[in-house]
Amino acid sequence: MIEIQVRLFGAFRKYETDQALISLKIPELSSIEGVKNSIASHFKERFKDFSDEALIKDSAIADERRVLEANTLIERSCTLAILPPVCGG
Amino acid sequence: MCDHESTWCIVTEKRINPVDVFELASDFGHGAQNFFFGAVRSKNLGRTVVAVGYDAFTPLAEATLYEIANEAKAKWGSTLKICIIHRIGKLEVGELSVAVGVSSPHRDESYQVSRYIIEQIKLRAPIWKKEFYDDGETEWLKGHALCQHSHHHEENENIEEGVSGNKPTGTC
Repeated sequence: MIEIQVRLFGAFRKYETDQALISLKIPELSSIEGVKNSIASHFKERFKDFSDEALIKDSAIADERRVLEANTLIERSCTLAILPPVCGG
Repeated sequence: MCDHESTWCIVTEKRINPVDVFELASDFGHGAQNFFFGAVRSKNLGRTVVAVGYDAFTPLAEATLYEIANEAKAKWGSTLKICIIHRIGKLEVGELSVAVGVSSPHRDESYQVSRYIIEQIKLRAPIWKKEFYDDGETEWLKGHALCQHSHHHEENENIEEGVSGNKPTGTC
């Protein structure tokens, strides 16, 4: 297992506690879908009224440089971000 | 993020000063300057808006703005000067949320580039807004899923530490 940090933005801000990121333990070489499933499990465990599975499904996983493609594998500890659908401007 | 010569892409908590945009997106060799300013409006979907809170993943947002600007240069000309500024934080009605300044040799490309940039910002920039209504309620606005718009860049791009695999799939 490896530990990753995930930053929260937009509609996920309501799940912040003391920091704007969460820590997760995930299997080495997890896929993007696996990361999103781990995030959903994390929220379900901590928030009884969690109901944003669909929003997680529609969200992208990114690092500071790029949105990660669906076939990206997470090899080691790192900091990622979950990005809900965007609406700048 | 900027190249300090012809492209400025900034996400900031500071108020947007249109004069700054005018000065950055100017060139004595260009005959056209085009400016787009987006502002917080007081109505949306029948509700009275009193403020909008903008959230952004700033490093990636600035990188995305820079990428969009470079796409415009590749399509309409490398001599373009481009300034893109996006606000974050809580903005009151009437405040400027985004500015796009384009300087080009002739007017046609400046109009096209300006439109291209603002449309791509709405589709791709990791920025979100929460509306504050007059009845005290708030709502994060729905938007465009980034996983449908992720771009694949150079074939030999360095792999970010901790992740591997970068073939495009175009899905979440």
